[in-house]
Amino acid sequence: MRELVTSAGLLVDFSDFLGAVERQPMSEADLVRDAQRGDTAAFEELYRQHVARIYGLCLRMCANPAKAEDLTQEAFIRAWRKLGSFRRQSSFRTWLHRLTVNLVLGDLRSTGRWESRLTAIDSLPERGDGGAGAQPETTFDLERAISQLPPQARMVFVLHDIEGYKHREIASLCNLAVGTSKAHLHRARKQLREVLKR
Amino acid sequence: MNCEQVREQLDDYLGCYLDEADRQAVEHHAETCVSCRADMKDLKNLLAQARQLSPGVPPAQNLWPAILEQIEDSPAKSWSYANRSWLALAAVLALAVLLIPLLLRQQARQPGEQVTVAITDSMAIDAATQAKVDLARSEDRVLLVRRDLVEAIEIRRDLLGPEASQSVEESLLVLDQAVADIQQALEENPDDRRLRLLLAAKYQHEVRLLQRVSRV
Ligand SMILES: [Zn+2]
Repeated sequence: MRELVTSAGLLVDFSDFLGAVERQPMSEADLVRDAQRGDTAAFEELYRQHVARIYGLCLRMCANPAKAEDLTQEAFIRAWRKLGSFRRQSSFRTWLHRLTVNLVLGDLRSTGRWESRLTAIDSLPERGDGGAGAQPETTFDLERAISQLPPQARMVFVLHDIEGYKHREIASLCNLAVGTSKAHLHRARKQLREVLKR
Repeated sequence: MNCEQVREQLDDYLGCYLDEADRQAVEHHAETCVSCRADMKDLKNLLAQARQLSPGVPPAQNLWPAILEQIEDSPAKSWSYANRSWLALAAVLALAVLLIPLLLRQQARQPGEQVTVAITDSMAIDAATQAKVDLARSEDRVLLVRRDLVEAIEIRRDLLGPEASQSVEESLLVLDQAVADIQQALEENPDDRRLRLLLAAKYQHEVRLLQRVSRV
């Protein structure tokens, strides 16, 4: 129903006007609320705002671009299905991050790669590929070195030193003891320093 | 603390996990020990580099179409709510434009009149709108609504682009015509009190809607 009968009995078609109004920039709380009510356009806007962070997280955690794309896709699909359980006291970003970390961990565990030493060094943009992907050499070397870390150490390093999680949060997310999380971080930092010194 | 103890604490020191006493002990040792100080500097360098990494990495391809395909099959919750606020906004704009000149006229005719109105028309208006309408105070609110309305349209004019702006303006022209029609009808039937009060009550209801929608 996109028409309105005015008091004067006039039938006014508001479809163009409504379409235009719907393209207004909206706050995150508004977008979440509309998405919770089933509005896929609002959810698309949330996707656009968060996809780079989520893909970056997946890529660094699993060191495989194709897998990271699958997981990013799955994270947003899950977020849509679970939106009803999102409480607005926490930020959507934090909620989406936790959901993604759980998803990636579940995937690493189910495919047995969590415990393995599998690494992928072809997972990052080629050095000097220009454009938005162009990065200083040290940054590129660090990305490459991170992708070569053992999965658990990589996960803890990414969450702690890039994403800013605390050990207690990582421990609860990854089902590890706090001491184990600290040990992984120590190992990751040590290996990274050695690799970067070469 | 000795060198071995300090190196064990270095991660916790840089992550701000140490209590004050341990923190001071690490710093005190590093001040006097070249080797531990170099170690600390090295680690700080790594963390600075890690912080420089952009947390966001855009995927090589647009993942949204595949996501949309999946979520469109999901049961969506009460879709009808999604567009309701926009419909309300349209209603507000329409009725505000429609009623402002009318109310200003009525206010001039009957200052200070207190009435209770029961809404019975076809638009779904809740029982709360059986409210007292103070026409004497309506002028201020009318001016406020007009200001909000103009601002809303002005803000949107930039954001909407020429095509949509034109559409808004055309809608307003249609509404202006409706206002003129009603004014003429009232001039012919100036004693149609029910129509007047109904419109006044509706106006009050729409002011509330506008206030709600403008916060959206
Ligand atoms: Zn020392």
